[in-house]
Amino acid sequence: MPSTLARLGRMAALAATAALLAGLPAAANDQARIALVTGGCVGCHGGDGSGGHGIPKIAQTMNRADFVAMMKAFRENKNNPTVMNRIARGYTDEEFALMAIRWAKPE
Amino acid sequence: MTDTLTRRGLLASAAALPVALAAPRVSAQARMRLVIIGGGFGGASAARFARDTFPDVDVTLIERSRSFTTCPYGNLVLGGMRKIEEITFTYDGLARRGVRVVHDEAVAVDPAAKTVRLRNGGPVAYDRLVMSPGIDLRWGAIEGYTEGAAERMPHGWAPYLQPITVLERQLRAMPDGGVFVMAIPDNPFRCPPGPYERISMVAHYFKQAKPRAKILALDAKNGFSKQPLFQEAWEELYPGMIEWRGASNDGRVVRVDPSAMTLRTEFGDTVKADVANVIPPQMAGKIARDTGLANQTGWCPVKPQTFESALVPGIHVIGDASIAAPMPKSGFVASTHAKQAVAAAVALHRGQTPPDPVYFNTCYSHVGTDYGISIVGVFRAEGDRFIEVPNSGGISPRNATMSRERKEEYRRLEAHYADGWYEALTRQMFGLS
Ligand SMILES: Cc1cc2nc3c(=O)[nH]c(=O)nc-3n(C[C@H](O)[C@H](O)[C@H](O)COP(=O)(O)OP(=O)(O)OC[C@H]3O[C@@H](n4cnc5c(N)ncnc54)[C@H](O)[C@@H]3O)c2cc1C
Repeated sequence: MPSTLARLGRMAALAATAALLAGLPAAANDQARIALVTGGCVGCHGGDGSGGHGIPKIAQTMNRADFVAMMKAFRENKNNPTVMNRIARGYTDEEFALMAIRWAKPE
Repeated sequence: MTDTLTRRGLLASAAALPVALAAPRVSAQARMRLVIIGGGFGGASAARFARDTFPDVDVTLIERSRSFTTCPYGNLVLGGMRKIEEITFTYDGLARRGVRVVHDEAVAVDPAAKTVRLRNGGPVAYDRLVMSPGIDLRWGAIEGYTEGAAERMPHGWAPYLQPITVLERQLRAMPDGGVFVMAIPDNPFRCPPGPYERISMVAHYFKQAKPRAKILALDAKNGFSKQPLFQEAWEELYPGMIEWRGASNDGRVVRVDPSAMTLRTEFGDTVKADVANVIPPQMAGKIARDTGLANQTGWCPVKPQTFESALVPGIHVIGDASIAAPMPKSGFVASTHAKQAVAAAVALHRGQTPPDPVYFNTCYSHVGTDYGISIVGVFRAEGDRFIEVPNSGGISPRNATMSRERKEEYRRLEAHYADGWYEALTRQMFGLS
Protein backbone atom coordinates (compact mmCIF):
# COMPACT_ATOMS: atom_id res chain seq x y z
CA MET A 1 0.00 0.00 0.00
CA PRO A 2 2.51 2.67 -1.10
CA SER A 3 1.62 6.17 0.08
CA THR A 4 1.99 9.30 -2.04
CA LEU A 5 4.98 10.16 0.12
CA ALA A 6 6.61 6.85 -0.62
CA ARG A 7 5.93 7.29 -4.33
CA LEU A 8 7.44 10.77 -4.34
CA GLY A 9 10.47 9.50 -2.48
CA ARG A 10 10.90 6.76 -5.02
CA MET A 11 10.57 9.25 -7.85
CA ALA A 12 13.36 11.34 -6.34
CA ALA A 13 15.47 8.21 -6.08
CA LEU A 14 14.69 7.31 -9.66
CA ALA A 15 15.62 10.80 -10.81
CA ALA A 16 18.92 10.51 -8.97
CA THR A 17 19.49 7.08 -10.45
CA ALA A 18 18.75 8.45 -13.92
CA ALA A 19 21.21 11.29 -13.32
CA LEU A 20 23.72 8.74 -12.15
CA LEU A 21 23.30 6.62 -15.22
CA ALA A 22 23.61 9.71 -17.40
CA GLY A 23 26.83 10.52 -15.54
CA LEU A 24 25.40 13.77 -14.16
CA PRO A 25 26.16 15.09 -10.69
CA ALA A 26 23.17 14.66 -8.34
CA ALA A 27 21.01 17.74 -7.80
CA ALA A 28 21.16 19.51 -4.43
CA ASN A 29 17.91 17.93 -3.28
CA ASP A 30 19.22 14.50 -4.06
CA GLN A 31 22.24 15.19 -1.88
CA ALA A 32 20.01 15.06 1.19
CA ARG A 33 18.46 11.85 -0.03
CA ILE A 34 21.88 10.31 -0.63
CA ALA A 35 22.99 11.39 2.83
CA LEU A 36 19.91 9.70 4.31
CA VAL A 37 20.26 6.46 2.37
CA THR A 38 23.93 6.23 3.37
CA GLY A 39 23.11 6.99 7.02
CA GLY A 40 23.51 3.29 7.78
CA CYS A 41 26.88 3.02 5.96
CA VAL A 42 28.53 5.87 7.85
CA GLY A 43 27.58 4.43 11.25
CA CYS A 44 30.37 1.87 10.86
CA HIS A 45 32.45 2.88 7.82
CA GLY A 46 32.71 6.51 8.99
CA GLY A 47 31.58 9.79 7.48
CA ASP A 48 34.43 9.63 4.97
CA GLY A 49 33.95 5.93 4.28
CA SER A 50 37.48 5.12 5.45
CA GLY A 51 36.55 2.23 7.77
CA GLY A 52 38.84 1.07 10.58
CA HIS A 53 39.19 -1.77 13.13
CA GLY A 54 38.96 -4.24 10.26
CA ILE A 55 35.89 -2.53 8.76
CA PRO A 56 36.78 -2.06 5.08
CA LYS A 57 37.32 1.29 3.43
CA ILE A 58 34.44 1.85 1.00
CA ALA A 59 35.21 5.32 -0.32
CA GLN A 60 36.81 5.67 -3.75
CA THR A 61 37.86 2.04 -3.93
CA MET A 62 35.71 0.86 -6.85
CA ASN A 63 33.62 2.11 -9.70
CA ARG A 64 29.86 2.50 -9.43
CA ALA A 65 28.90 -0.64 -11.28
CA ASP A 66 31.22 -2.74 -9.11
CA PHE A 67 29.86 -1.13 -5.95
CA VAL A 68 26.28 -2.01 -6.91
CA ALA A 69 27.33 -5.51 -7.94
CA MET A 70 29.05 -5.99 -4.59
CA MET A 71 25.93 -4.95 -2.68
CA LYS A 72 23.80 -7.31 -4.75
CA ALA A 73 26.25 -10.14 -4.12
CA PHE A 74 25.97 -9.53 -0.35
CA ARG A 75 22.24 -10.14 -0.65
CA GLU A 76 23.08 -13.64 -1.88
CA ASN A 77 25.47 -14.23 1.07
CA LYS A 78 28.48 -13.94 -1.24
CA ASN A 79 31.90 -12.46 -0.26
CA ASN A 80 32.01 -14.12 3.18
CA PRO A 81 29.91 -11.48 4.95
CA THR A 82 29.24 -11.01 8.70
CA VAL A 83 26.63 -8.23 8.73
CA MET A 84 26.57 -7.02 5.13
CA ASN A 85 24.31 -9.83 3.90
CA ARG A 86 21.75 -9.04 6.60
CA ILE A 87 22.01 -5.35 5.77
CA ALA A 88 21.93 -5.56 1.96
CA ARG A 89 18.68 -7.51 2.00
CA GLY A 90 16.95 -4.46 3.50
CA TYR A 91 17.79 -2.04 0.67
CA THR A 92 16.54 -1.61 -2.91
CA ASP A 93 18.59 -1.53 -6.11
CA GLU A 94 17.86 2.20 -6.42
CA GLU A 95 19.29 2.75 -2.98
CA PHE A 96 22.44 0.83 -3.93
CA ALA A 97 22.79 3.24 -6.87
CA LEU A 98 22.45 6.22 -4.54
CA MET A 99 25.07 4.72 -2.21
CA ALA A 100 27.37 4.28 -5.18
CA ILE A 101 27.13 8.00 -5.95
CA ARG A 102 28.58 8.74 -2.54
CA TRP A 103 31.13 5.95 -2.23
CA ALA A 104 32.33 4.91 -5.67
CA LYS A 105 35.05 6.64 -7.69
CA PRO A 106 33.69 9.68 -9.51
CA GLU A 107 32.81 8.92 -13.13
CA MET B 1 27.65 32.51 35.60
CA THR B 2 26.20 30.21 32.99
CA ASP B 3 23.81 33.06 32.26
CA THR B 4 26.57 35.55 31.48
CA LEU B 5 28.55 32.99 29.53
CA THR B 6 25.57 32.00 27.45
CA ARG B 7 24.60 35.57 26.74
CA ARG B 8 28.13 36.48 25.83
CA GLY B 9 28.16 33.46 23.52
CA LEU B 10 24.95 34.61 21.91
CA LEU B 11 26.21 38.16 21.40
CA ALA B 12 29.45 36.91 19.96
CA SER B 13 27.72 34.68 17.43
CA ALA B 14 25.19 37.41 16.55
CA ALA B 15 28.04 39.83 15.95
CA ALA B 16 29.67 37.37 13.60
CA LEU B 17 26.59 37.20 11.38
CA PRO B 18 25.81 39.61 8.55
CA VAL B 19 23.31 42.22 9.76
CA ALA B 20 20.47 40.92 7.61
CA LEU B 21 20.79 37.44 9.08
CA ALA B 22 21.03 38.57 12.68
CA ALA B 23 17.88 40.70 12.33
CA PRO B 24 14.52 39.16 13.26
CA ARG B 25 13.00 36.91 10.65
CA VAL B 26 11.19 39.16 8.18
CA SER B 27 11.01 37.34 4.87
CA ALA B 28 10.70 33.85 3.49
CA GLN B 29 14.42 34.07 2.71
CA ALA B 30 15.36 34.30 6.40
CA ARG B 31 17.53 31.44 7.60
CA MET B 32 15.55 28.60 9.10
CA ARG B 33 16.14 28.21 12.85
CA LEU B 34 16.48 24.54 13.75
CA VAL B 35 16.71 23.99 17.50
CA ILE B 36 17.65 20.65 19.03
CA ILE B 37 17.13 19.69 22.69
CA GLY B 38 19.46 16.99 24.02
CA GLY B 39 23.02 16.36 22.88
CA GLY B 40 23.06 12.55 23.03
CA PHE B 41 22.92 9.97 20.26
CA GLY B 42 19.84 11.50 18.66
CA GLY B 43 20.49 15.18 19.30
CA ALA B 44 24.22 15.36 18.57
CA SER B 45 23.73 13.30 15.40
CA ALA B 46 20.94 15.66 14.35
CA ALA B 47 23.14 18.70 14.91
CA ARG B 48 26.03 17.24 12.92
CA PHE B 49 23.81 16.12 10.05
CA ALA B 50 21.97 19.44 9.88
CA ARG B 51 25.23 21.41 9.90
CA ASP B 52 26.77 19.30 7.12
CA THR B 53 23.71 18.87 4.91
CA PHE B 54 21.95 22.24 5.19
CA PRO B 55 24.53 25.06 5.30
CA ASP B 56 21.74 27.65 5.06
CA VAL B 57 20.03 26.53 8.28
CA ASP B 58 20.93 27.89 11.74
CA VAL B 59 21.53 24.97 14.07
CA THR B 60 21.29 25.36 17.86
CA LEU B 61 21.93 22.46 20.24
CA ILE B 62 20.68 22.77 23.82
CA GLU B 63 22.41 20.31 26.18
CA ARG B 64 22.58 20.76 29.93
CA SER B 65 25.88 19.00 30.43
CA ARG B 66 29.32 20.06 29.16
CA SER B 67 30.38 16.51 28.48
CA PHE B 68 28.63 13.34 27.40
CA THR B 69 29.49 9.85 28.58
CA THR B 70 28.04 7.21 26.28
CA CYS B 71 25.91 4.31 27.49
CA PRO B 72 27.45 2.18 24.75
CA TYR B 73 30.75 0.80 26.01
CA GLY B 74 29.73 1.57 29.61
CA ASN B 75 29.46 -2.19 30.07
CA LEU B 76 33.07 -2.47 28.90
CA VAL B 77 34.05 -0.16 31.75
CA LEU B 78 32.47 -2.71 34.11
CA GLY B 79 34.39 -5.45 32.31
CA GLY B 80 37.67 -3.58 32.76
CA MET B 81 38.13 -3.21 28.98
CA ARG B 82 37.64 0.58 28.82
CA LYS B 83 38.16 3.59 31.03
CA ILE B 84 35.40 6.12 31.59
CA GLU B 85 37.52 8.89 30.00
CA GLU B 86 37.65 6.89 26.78
CA ILE B 87 33.87 7.01 26.46
CA THR B 88 33.40 10.67 27.40
CA PHE B 89 33.16 13.47 24.84
CA THR B 90 32.76 17.24 24.73
CA TYR B 91 30.82 19.43 22.31
CA ASP B 92 33.83 21.42 21.09
CA GLY B 93 33.94 19.57 17.76
CA LEU B 94 30.32 20.43 16.99
CA ALA B 95 30.84 24.05 18.03
CA ARG B 96 33.91 24.29 15.78
CA ARG B 97 31.79 23.13 12.88
CA GLY B 98 29.30 25.95 13.40
CA VAL B 99 26.68 24.40 15.65
CA ARG B 100 25.58 26.93 18.27
CA VAL B 101 25.96 24.84 21.43
CA VAL B 102 24.04 26.19 24.43
CA HIS B 103 24.86 24.46 27.70
CA ASP B 104 21.65 24.97 29.60
CA GLU B 105 18.58 23.00 30.56
CA ALA B 106 15.39 23.33 28.51
CA VAL B 107 12.71 23.72 31.18
CA ALA B 108 9.64 24.45 29.04
CA VAL B 109 8.57 24.63 25.42
CA ASP B 110 5.79 26.85 24.10
CA PRO B 111 4.69 25.15 20.86
CA ALA B 112 2.36 28.05 19.94
CA ALA B 113 5.00 30.77 20.35
CA LYS B 114 7.70 28.34 19.14
CA THR B 115 10.13 29.11 21.92
CA VAL B 116 12.20 27.07 24.35
CA ARG B 117 12.62 28.43 27.87
CA LEU B 118 15.98 27.76 29.49
CA ARG B 119 16.85 27.42 33.17
CA ASN B 120 19.51 30.13 33.01
CA GLY B 121 19.62 31.82 29.61
CA GLY B 122 16.98 33.74 27.67
CA PRO B 123 14.35 32.02 25.50
CA VAL B 124 15.38 30.40 22.21
CA ALA B 125 13.04 30.79 19.22
CA TYR B 126 12.70 28.04 16.63
CA ASP B 127 11.04 27.36 13.30
CA ARG B 128 11.23 23.61 13.91
CA LEU B 129 12.28 21.81 17.10
CA VAL B 130 13.94 18.40 17.37
CA MET B 131 13.83 16.77 20.80
CA SER B 132 16.03 13.87 21.85
CA PRO B 133 15.95 13.99 25.66
CA GLY B 134 16.48 10.26 26.22
CA ILE B 135 14.82 8.47 29.11
CA ASP B 136 13.76 9.09 32.67
CA LEU B 137 13.47 6.30 35.21
CA ARG B 138 10.13 5.44 36.82
CA TRP B 139 11.05 5.81 40.46
CA GLY B 140 8.75 3.74 42.64
CA ALA B 141 7.56 1.45 39.81
CA ILE B 142 9.54 -1.20 41.68
CA GLU B 143 8.46 -0.64 45.28
CA GLY B 144 11.28 0.89 47.30
CA TYR B 145 13.37 1.79 44.26
CA THR B 146 13.76 5.54 44.77
CA GLU B 147 16.53 7.92 43.76
CA GLY B 148 18.01 7.34 47.21
CA ALA B 149 17.88 3.55 46.80
CA ALA B 150 19.77 3.88 43.52
CA GLU B 151 22.92 4.77 45.45
CA ARG B 152 22.98 1.38 47.20
CA MET B 153 21.51 -0.44 44.19
CA PRO B 154 22.76 1.45 41.13
CA HIS B 155 20.97 1.38 37.78
CA GLY B 156 23.86 2.54 35.60
CA TRP B 157 21.35 3.04 32.79
CA ALA B 158 21.50 6.78 32.14
CA PRO B 159 24.89 8.46 32.61
CA TYR B 160 23.27 11.91 33.04
CA LEU B 161 21.50 10.51 36.14
CA GLN B 162 24.25 8.28 37.52
CA PRO B 163 27.76 7.54 36.22
CA ILE B 164 28.54 3.89 35.50
CA THR B 165 31.47 4.21 37.91
CA VAL B 166 29.09 3.90 40.89
CA LEU B 167 28.31 0.33 39.88
CA GLU B 168 31.92 -0.26 38.83
CA ARG B 169 33.21 0.63 42.32
CA GLN B 170 30.72 -1.71 43.99
CA LEU B 171 31.73 -4.59 41.73
CA ARG B 172 35.42 -3.98 42.41
CA ALA B 173 34.77 -3.96 46.17
CA MET B 174 32.62 -7.10 46.12
CA PRO B 175 34.25 -10.14 47.78
CA ASP B 176 35.06 -13.22 45.70
CA GLY B 177 32.23 -15.66 46.15
CA GLY B 178 29.68 -12.83 46.31
CA VAL B 179 26.44 -12.66 44.34
CA PHE B 180 25.73 -9.96 41.77
CA VAL B 181 21.98 -9.64 41.19
CA MET B 182 20.42 -7.77 38.27
CA ALA B 183 16.77 -6.73 37.93
CA ILE B 184 15.87 -6.31 34.25
CA PRO B 185 12.69 -4.59 33.04
CA ASP B 186 9.97 -5.58 30.61
CA ASN B 187 9.81 -4.03 27.11
CA PRO B 188 10.03 -1.30 25.98
CA PHE B 189 13.26 -0.04 27.51
CA ARG B 190 16.57 1.53 26.47
CA CYS B 191 18.87 -0.91 24.66
CA PRO B 192 17.21 -4.35 24.54
CA PRO B 193 20.53 -6.30 24.43
CA GLY B 194 22.21 -3.97 26.99
CA PRO B 195 21.44 -5.94 30.19
CA TYR B 196 22.79 -9.14 28.65
CA GLU B 197 25.95 -7.47 27.43
CA ARG B 198 26.29 -6.22 31.00
CA ILE B 199 25.92 -9.75 32.40
CA SER B 200 28.64 -10.85 29.96
CA MET B 201 31.06 -8.05 30.81
CA VAL B 202 30.63 -8.52 34.56
CA ALA B 203 31.20 -12.25 34.05
CA HIS B 204 34.34 -11.42 32.06
CA TYR B 205 35.60 -9.39 35.03
CA PHE B 206 34.61 -12.03 37.60
CA LYS B 207 36.32 -14.78 35.62
CA GLN B 208 39.64 -13.00 36.09
CA ALA B 209 39.25 -11.27 39.45
CA LYS B 210 36.53 -13.16 41.37
CA PRO B 211 36.20 -16.66 39.91
CA ARG B 212 33.89 -17.89 42.70
CA ALA B 213 31.37 -15.04 42.25
CA LYS B 214 27.90 -15.68 40.79
CA ILE B 215 25.49 -13.67 38.67
CA LEU B 216 21.74 -13.94 39.09
CA ALA B 217 19.65 -12.10 36.47
CA LEU B 218 15.99 -11.58 37.41
CA ASP B 219 14.07 -10.62 34.29
CA ALA B 220 10.52 -9.26 33.94
CA LYS B 221 10.19 -10.90 30.51
CA ASN B 222 10.44 -14.41 29.11
CA GLY B 223 12.85 -13.80 26.28
CA PHE B 224 15.42 -11.23 25.21
CA SER B 225 17.43 -9.83 22.33
CA LYS B 226 20.06 -12.17 20.81
CA GLN B 227 19.11 -14.69 23.52
CA PRO B 228 20.41 -17.88 21.86
CA LEU B 229 23.74 -16.22 21.07
CA PHE B 230 24.19 -14.85 24.59
CA GLN B 231 23.23 -18.10 26.27
CA GLU B 232 25.50 -20.20 24.04
CA ALA B 233 28.37 -17.84 24.77
CA TRP B 234 27.74 -17.85 28.52
CA GLU B 235 27.97 -21.64 28.60
CA GLU B 236 31.09 -21.55 26.52
CA LEU B 237 32.93 -18.74 28.30
CA TYR B 238 31.50 -18.61 31.82
CA PRO B 239 30.12 -22.08 32.61
CA GLY B 240 28.22 -22.28 35.91
CA MET B 241 28.55 -18.58 36.71
CA ILE B 242 25.30 -17.11 35.32
CA GLU B 243 21.70 -17.89 36.18
CA TRP B 244 19.00 -16.11 34.16
CA ARG B 245 15.43 -16.31 35.43
CA GLY B 246 12.57 -15.15 33.16
CA ALA B 247 9.15 -13.84 34.20
CA SER B 248 7.40 -17.22 34.15
CA ASN B 249 10.18 -18.57 36.36
CA ASP B 250 9.47 -15.85 38.96
CA GLY B 251 12.01 -13.42 37.53
CA ARG B 252 10.01 -10.21 37.91
CA VAL B 253 11.31 -8.03 40.76
CA VAL B 254 8.49 -6.10 42.47
CA ARG B 255 10.16 -4.70 45.59
CA VAL B 256 13.65 -3.87 46.80
CA ASP B 257 15.06 -3.15 50.25
CA PRO B 258 18.35 -1.31 49.84
CA SER B 259 19.28 -1.41 53.55
CA ALA B 260 18.90 -5.20 53.70
CA MET B 261 20.23 -5.51 50.11
CA THR B 262 17.34 -7.77 49.16
CA LEU B 263 15.10 -8.00 46.10
CA ARG B 264 11.65 -9.55 46.21
CA THR B 265 10.06 -11.25 43.23
CA GLU B 266 6.45 -11.37 42.06
CA PHE B 267 5.73 -14.77 43.63
CA GLY B 268 7.44 -13.93 46.90
CA ASP B 269 11.02 -15.13 46.64
CA THR B 270 13.49 -12.92 48.51
CA VAL B 271 17.01 -12.74 47.10
CA LYS B 272 20.02 -11.34 48.92
CA ALA B 273 22.65 -9.53 46.87
CA ASP B 274 26.22 -8.47 47.51
CA VAL B 275 25.91 -6.02 44.63
CA ALA B 276 22.54 -5.24 43.06
CA ASN B 277 21.98 -3.56 39.69
CA VAL B 278 18.35 -2.54 39.38
CA ILE B 279 17.30 -1.36 35.91
CA PRO B 280 13.81 0.04 36.49
CA PRO B 281 10.99 0.66 33.98
CA GLN B 282 11.49 3.85 31.97
CA MET B 283 9.69 6.65 30.12
CA ALA B 284 10.47 9.57 27.83
CA GLY B 285 12.63 12.38 29.27
CA LYS B 286 10.83 15.00 31.37
CA ILE B 287 10.91 17.87 28.88
CA ALA B 288 9.08 15.72 26.31
CA ARG B 289 6.41 14.73 28.83
CA ASP B 290 6.06 18.30 30.12
CA THR B 291 5.55 19.53 26.55
CA GLY B 292 2.63 17.13 26.09
CA LEU B 293 4.45 14.91 23.60
CA ALA B 294 3.96 11.65 25.54
CA ASN B 295 0.79 9.56 25.61
CA GLN B 296 -0.47 7.37 28.47
CA THR B 297 2.45 4.97 27.96
CA GLY B 298 4.94 7.66 28.94
CA TRP B 299 6.55 7.52 25.47
CA CYS B 300 6.00 9.86 22.48
CA PRO B 301 3.97 8.84 19.41
CA VAL B 302 5.39 10.18 16.13
CA LYS B 303 4.63 10.20 12.41
CA PRO B 304 6.79 7.48 10.83
CA GLN B 305 7.83 9.55 7.79
CA THR B 306 9.06 12.60 9.69
CA PHE B 307 9.28 11.85 13.42
CA GLU B 308 7.05 14.86 13.93
CA SER B 309 5.04 14.43 17.10
CA ALA B 310 1.60 12.91 16.52
CA LEU B 311 0.34 15.18 19.30
CA VAL B 312 2.05 18.57 18.91
CA PRO B 313 2.93 20.04 15.49
CA GLY B 314 6.35 21.51 14.73
CA ILE B 315 8.25 19.29 17.16
CA HIS B 316 10.11 16.14 16.07
CA VAL B 317 10.75 13.60 18.83
CA ILE B 318 13.57 11.14 18.14
CA GLY B 319 15.65 8.51 19.90
CA ASP B 320 14.62 6.56 22.97
CA ALA B 321 11.81 9.00 23.87
CA SER B 322 9.85 8.16 20.71
CA ILE B 323 7.52 5.24 20.05
CA ALA B 324 9.18 3.64 17.04
CA ALA B 325 8.73 -0.12 17.52
CA PRO B 326 9.72 -2.46 15.94
CA MET B 327 12.90 -0.38 16.02
CA PRO B 328 14.85 -0.92 19.25
CA LYS B 329 15.78 2.00 21.49
CA SER B 330 19.43 2.13 20.42
CA GLY B 331 22.02 4.79 19.79
CA PHE B 332 22.54 3.79 16.15
CA VAL B 333 18.79 3.90 15.51
CA ALA B 334 18.58 7.31 17.21
CA SER B 335 21.20 8.61 14.77
CA THR B 336 19.12 7.48 11.79
CA HIS B 337 15.93 8.96 13.30
CA ALA B 338 17.92 12.17 13.67
CA LYS B 339 18.88 12.44 10.03
CA GLN B 340 15.37 11.73 8.76
CA ALA B 341 13.82 14.14 11.27
CA VAL B 342 16.20 16.94 10.27
CA ALA B 343 15.67 16.43 6.54
CA ALA B 344 11.90 16.26 7.09
CA ALA B 345 11.88 19.36 9.31
CA VAL B 346 13.75 21.38 6.69
CA ALA B 347 11.51 20.10 3.87
CA LEU B 348 8.32 20.85 5.81
CA HIS B 349 9.56 24.32 6.73
CA ARG B 350 10.15 24.99 3.04
CA GLY B 351 6.81 23.55 1.95
CA GLN B 352 8.50 20.58 0.26
CA THR B 353 7.72 16.88 0.49
CA PRO B 354 9.90 15.09 3.06
CA PRO B 355 12.12 12.36 1.63
CA ASP B 356 11.14 8.70 1.87
CA PRO B 357 12.77 7.30 5.02
CA VAL B 358 14.95 4.27 5.60
CA TYR B 359 15.98 3.62 9.21
CA PHE B 360 18.83 1.40 10.21
CA ASN B 361 20.27 -0.37 13.19
CA THR B 362 23.25 -2.53 13.95
CA CYS B 363 23.79 -3.32 17.62
CA TYR B 364 26.96 -5.13 18.55
CA SER B 365 27.39 -6.67 21.97
CA HIS B 366 30.68 -7.69 23.53
CA VAL B 367 30.42 -11.05 25.29
CA GLY B 368 34.11 -11.68 26.03
CA THR B 369 37.60 -11.00 24.72
CA ASP B 370 37.46 -11.11 20.91
CA TYR B 371 33.89 -12.33 21.14
CA GLY B 372 31.20 -10.10 19.64
CA ILE B 373 27.67 -10.71 18.36
CA SER B 374 25.24 -8.48 16.50
CA ILE B 375 21.68 -7.77 15.51
CA VAL B 376 20.78 -5.84 12.35
CA GLY B 377 17.52 -4.21 11.27
CA VAL B 378 16.36 -2.11 8.32
CA PHE B 379 13.08 -0.28 8.82
CA ARG B 380 10.70 1.84 6.77
CA ALA B 381 7.52 3.83 7.18
CA GLU B 382 4.30 2.30 5.97
CA GLY B 383 1.26 4.50 6.47
CA ASP B 384 1.07 5.29 10.18
CA ARG B 385 3.43 2.50 11.26
CA PHE B 386 7.06 1.53 11.17
CA ILE B 387 7.85 -1.83 9.62
CA GLU B 388 10.97 -3.97 9.48
CA VAL B 389 11.89 -4.85 5.90
CA PRO B 390 10.92 -8.52 5.48
CA ASN B 391 13.77 -11.05 5.04
CA SER B 392 16.40 -8.52 6.06
CA GLY B 393 18.37 -8.08 9.26
CA GLY B 394 18.52 -10.57 12.11
CA ILE B 395 21.16 -11.86 14.51
CA SER B 396 24.59 -13.39 13.91
CA PRO B 397 24.51 -17.11 13.12
CA ARG B 398 24.40 -19.65 15.96
CA ASN B 399 27.54 -21.62 16.81
CA ALA B 400 26.27 -24.88 15.33
CA THR B 401 25.72 -23.38 11.88
CA MET B 402 29.45 -22.76 11.34
CA SER B 403 32.72 -24.64 11.45
CA ARG B 404 34.69 -23.99 14.63
CA GLU B 405 37.27 -21.92 12.73
CA ARG B 406 34.64 -19.80 11.00
CA LYS B 407 32.73 -19.33 14.25
CA GLU B 408 35.86 -18.08 16.04
CA GLU B 409 36.70 -15.78 13.16
CA TYR B 410 33.10 -14.48 13.04
CA ARG B 411 32.96 -13.67 16.76
CA ARG B 412 36.38 -12.04 16.64
CA LEU B 413 35.49 -9.94 13.59
CA GLU B 414 32.27 -8.77 15.21
CA ALA B 415 34.13 -7.72 18.37
CA HIS B 416 36.50 -5.63 16.24
CA TYR B 417 33.68 -4.24 14.10
CA ALA B 418 31.95 -3.19 17.30
CA ASP B 419 34.99 -1.07 18.17
CA GLY B 420 34.93 0.37 14.66
CA TRP B 421 31.23 1.14 14.96
CA TYR B 422 31.73 2.90 18.29
CA GLU B 423 34.56 5.02 16.97
CA ALA B 424 32.83 5.92 13.70
CA LEU B 425 29.52 6.88 15.26
CA THR B 426 30.90 8.88 18.18
CA ARG B 427 33.38 10.73 15.98
CA GLN B 428 30.56 11.83 13.71
CA MET B 429 28.16 12.75 16.51
CA PHE B 430 30.70 14.93 18.21
CA GLY B 431 32.15 16.44 15.04
CA LEU B 432 35.60 14.89 15.49
CA SER B 433 35.95 13.68 11.91
C1 LIG C 1 24.39 -0.20 29.06
C2 LIG C 1 23.94 0.33 27.74
C3 LIG C 1 24.60 -0.07 26.59
C4 LIG C 1 24.19 0.40 25.35
N1 LIG C 1 24.85 -0.02 24.24
C5 LIG C 1 24.46 0.40 23.01
C6 LIG C 1 25.16 -0.02 21.84
O1 LIG C 1 26.12 -0.79 21.90
N2 LIG C 1 24.72 0.43 20.65
C7 LIG C 1 23.68 1.29 20.53
O2 LIG C 1 23.33 1.68 19.41
N3 LIG C 1 23.00 1.72 21.64
C8 LIG C 1 23.36 1.30 22.86
N4 LIG C 1 22.68 1.74 23.99
C9 LIG C 1 21.48 2.59 23.83
C10 LIG C 1 21.80 4.07 23.67
O3 LIG C 1 22.58 4.53 24.74
C11 LIG C 1 20.51 4.89 23.62
O4 LIG C 1 19.59 4.27 22.76
C12 LIG C 1 20.80 6.31 23.13
O5 LIG C 1 21.59 6.97 24.09
C13 LIG C 1 19.51 7.08 22.87
O6 LIG C 1 19.80 8.36 22.40
P1 LIG C 1 18.89 9.62 22.83
O7 LIG C 1 19.37 10.76 22.02
O8 LIG C 1 17.47 9.22 22.79
O9 LIG C 1 19.22 9.84 24.37
P2 LIG C 1 20.68 10.16 25.10
O10 LIG C 1 21.75 9.64 24.23
O11 LIG C 1 20.52 9.65 26.43
O12 LIG C 1 20.73 11.72 25.08
C14 LIG C 1 19.85 12.53 25.81
C15 LIG C 1 20.55 13.85 26.12
O13 LIG C 1 19.57 14.87 26.37
C16 LIG C 1 20.00 15.69 27.42
N5 LIG C 1 18.80 16.32 27.97
C17 LIG C 1 17.68 15.69 28.41
N6 LIG C 1 16.76 16.60 28.80
C18 LIG C 1 17.30 17.82 28.59
C19 LIG C 1 16.82 19.15 28.81
N7 LIG C 1 15.61 19.37 29.32
N8 LIG C 1 17.63 20.17 28.48
C20 LIG C 1 18.87 19.94 27.97
N9 LIG C 1 19.37 18.72 27.76
C21 LIG C 1 18.59 17.65 28.07
C22 LIG C 1 20.72 14.73 28.35
O14 LIG C 1 21.62 15.43 29.19
C23 LIG C 1 21.43 13.80 27.36
O15 LIG C 1 22.71 14.28 27.03
C24 LIG C 1 23.10 1.30 25.25
C25 LIG C 1 22.45 1.72 26.42
C26 LIG C 1 22.84 1.24 27.65
C27 LIG C 1 22.13 1.70 28.89
